[in-house]
Amino acid sequence: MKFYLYCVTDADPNLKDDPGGLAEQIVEVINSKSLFVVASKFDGEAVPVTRENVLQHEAIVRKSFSNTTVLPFRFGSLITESGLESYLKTREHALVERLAQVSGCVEMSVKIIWQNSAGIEDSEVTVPDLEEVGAGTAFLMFKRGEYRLEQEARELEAWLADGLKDVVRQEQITIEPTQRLVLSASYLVERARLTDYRRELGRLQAERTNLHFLSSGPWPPYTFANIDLEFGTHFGVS
Amino acid sequence: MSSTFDQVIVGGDVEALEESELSLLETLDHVLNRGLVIAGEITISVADVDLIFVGLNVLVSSVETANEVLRSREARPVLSTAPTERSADH
Repeated sequence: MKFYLYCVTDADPNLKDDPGGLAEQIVEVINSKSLFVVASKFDGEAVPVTRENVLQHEAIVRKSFSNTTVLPFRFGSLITESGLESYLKTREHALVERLAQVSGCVEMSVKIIWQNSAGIEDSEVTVPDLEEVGAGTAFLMFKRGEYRLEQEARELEAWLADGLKDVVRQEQITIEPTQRLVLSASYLVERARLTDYRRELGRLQAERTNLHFLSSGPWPPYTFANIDLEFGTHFGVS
Repeated sequence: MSSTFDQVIVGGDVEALEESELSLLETLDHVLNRGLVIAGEITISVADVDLIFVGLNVLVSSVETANEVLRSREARPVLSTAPTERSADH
């Protein structure tokens, strides 16, 4: 029997009256020194990705988030009891440090979608007719289109970062210049500054009416939860 | 499921469904793609996939769907002049 993990918290999230966890198991809070792990027992080797399971995971993390500071685990985290003990023992300092970094904050997400009216013509990112222009010219035209898209995407990234820099604590932005979903950004925002964040984002949206913005949140800090030790440790070089 | 979106981008019966779908996709993006990872300890099964959304490709696909909804809304003068509705959650 393994534990399915929902999140690490800095205090007891007090989930007594909540519905069960995945596979109808009771949600437990495991205390180790200054850390609390929200988990439930799981009898199986793999966690099915179903709508119900994903929403259940999110609901338990969100409930914990309403009472405490949390570091959400990624969906599907299964570990033995001894493995969990070892993890908490070896990572305690990093987890406490990360909890302090996200304390009092929520995650907000922004996605931006290219529109043709943004100035990017379809003809610039498709391969030209080889019979008309020749392979070499076609290649150069295609690369020129790609280059222009990248420039536009980087300008968009800088514009968004500059516009929100005074109202966010941390950010993580990914750009995909050749995709319609050109930019995905996650922001760590202090709860007390959410109104300011929304105002600034609204102002930015009004500046670029030719782009589609998808904004969501507040989220538990999924994007800012990792402690960046797993890779090194996994290969025995930590 | 309640919306996680700050901004409700659509309104009306059909559009509300799209909003709910986008909200679910945002949830999937966070729950499946982000979060604290213990190396080697994530094991998921997608054999019984009622969620065909796993991964960014599906999110893009959903965005395309949203665009279709937005375009159809823009083509309807009555709705295009209505004020943008905001989610009660936020």
